[in-house]
Amino acid sequence: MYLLPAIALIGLAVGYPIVHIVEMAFGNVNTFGTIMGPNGFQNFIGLWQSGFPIVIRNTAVWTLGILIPTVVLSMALAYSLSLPIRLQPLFRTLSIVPWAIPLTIVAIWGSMAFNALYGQVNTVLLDLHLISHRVGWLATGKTSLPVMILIGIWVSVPFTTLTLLGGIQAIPRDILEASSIDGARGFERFARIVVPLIRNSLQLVVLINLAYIFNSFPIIWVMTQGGPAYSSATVTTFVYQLAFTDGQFGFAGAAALLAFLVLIGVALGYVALYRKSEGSLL
Amino acid sequence: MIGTPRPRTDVRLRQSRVHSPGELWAAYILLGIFCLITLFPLFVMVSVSLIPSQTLAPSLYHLWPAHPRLANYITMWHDLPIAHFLMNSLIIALGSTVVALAVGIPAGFALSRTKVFGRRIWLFLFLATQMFSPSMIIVSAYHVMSVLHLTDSYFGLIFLDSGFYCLPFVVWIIAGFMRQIPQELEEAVDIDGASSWQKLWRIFTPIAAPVIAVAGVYAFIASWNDFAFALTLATSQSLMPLPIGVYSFIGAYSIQWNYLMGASLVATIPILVLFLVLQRRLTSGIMAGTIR
Repeated sequence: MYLLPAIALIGLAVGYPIVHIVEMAFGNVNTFGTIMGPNGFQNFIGLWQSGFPIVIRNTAVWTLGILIPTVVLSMALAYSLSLPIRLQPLFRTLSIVPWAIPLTIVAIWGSMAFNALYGQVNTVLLDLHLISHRVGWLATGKTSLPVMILIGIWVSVPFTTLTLLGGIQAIPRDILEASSIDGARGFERFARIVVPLIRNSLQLVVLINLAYIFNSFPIIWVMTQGGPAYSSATVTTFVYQLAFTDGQFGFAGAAALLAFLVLIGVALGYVALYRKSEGSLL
Repeated sequence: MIGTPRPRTDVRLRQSRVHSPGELWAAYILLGIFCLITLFPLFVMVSVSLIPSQTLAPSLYHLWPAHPRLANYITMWHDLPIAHFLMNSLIIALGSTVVALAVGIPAGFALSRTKVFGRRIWLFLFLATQMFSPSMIIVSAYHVMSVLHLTDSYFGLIFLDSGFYCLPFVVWIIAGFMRQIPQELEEAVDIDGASSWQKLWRIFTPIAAPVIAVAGVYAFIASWNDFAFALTLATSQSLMPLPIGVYSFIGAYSIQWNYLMGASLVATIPILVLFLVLQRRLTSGIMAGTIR
């Protein structure tokens, strides 16, 4: 009985919309989003013919292009923060900042800072003699996707670093000291002692980041809207564009359904991990 | 002389034996570079927000304006509906937080202290909703909202924000904490013959108050940071929360970046402050879901 309001709220906000997406995916939907009748797999075929393969490729590049560098960089940062360094609290606080700026604001900043005419990033790169002329970073998918991936890494690192830092700090000190007596130092100890000991934290950040990056919407929508011509669109922005720009609700439903299947897999993996490591609730 | 505290230097010595100087230098360099990259956007936001409007175009690409003008913030406040957007953000984020807590505290209690049917399934379903993208949910949630005539109202946004962003992890955080409250405490109250409703509000909620506060702050941040729902549902300016309001000015023919960056900072500062307040507890809610 205490549960009913929560179930009602979530059912209307998330549950029914998911059912409706399935209906749209297999339905003949007009441009106002009204379902006119069944449509078999026509939406999936239409989706495939309207640029979906490029979108899948972009999504893979976007997700892995952010996930892998984020985890590697965060690992190094977390280990650095765990060392007995001076100013540790200051470094720790500053490293949270990218997480604390609303994503929409980060994206708005990005569309200014990477502008071809007045972008401040161009100014810095010119001053450092890394480029010879101002670059229109957001004009083509070739440069805009990498630029947005860099921003994606920047906003993903703080959460990942803090989680991994928690894992490292849980390692008993004796183990590190024992390893140094055995002659393991620096990078060797990091790779052979620390990394295996925080495997659970690593799996956790990989799964959470996977869902988070895959679903990320504001950066791409604000900076390029997935354009020009899908060249920087991921599944998430593509679904939104199909529905609210192109009025192709059937295609949008089909693409969203395919994405949900992937995400349910991630959710199941997450639950398996949760049961293994904490397991008190589920 | 038993119990003499060890001198500090001993600890330092032990640590320096564990960590080589090269390792420490690498750490300083890495952290230094990352912090510089981190501060760069904030620095640019501040510097652009201080450019006088008359010289905006020629000085936008400089890293610091020749004549910074602090009064820009006052002009911005008067010329753009920033105060109104800010109010919208507060109404929607506070509304979502209140709804999520009002619904989530009993749900968290039920899922941790009572033998409710399908407990694990409900917990899994709540968690699973966190894995979906708001920009995909909104495609059909928009349909639900238009049927309910909630497309251009605070209620629609509060409803979706609280249901999608806030409720799942509020339930998880509270259920996770309440489960750890010792059974003896509950039994002691059982002798007094308290109903479960009384137990919830008299015993469990006060004990869980600090955790509920943290969950509330998370909920506030999550709703404040919403983009997809407000972008779709708040079609009129009178309803836009601050980040969407700022975004809506980007389509304009000549973009007043100085004011937009000022407004962006206004949208950022409350969240930045909350993060710094939460700093030590940030990781506690991570297992229960992500902050989008």
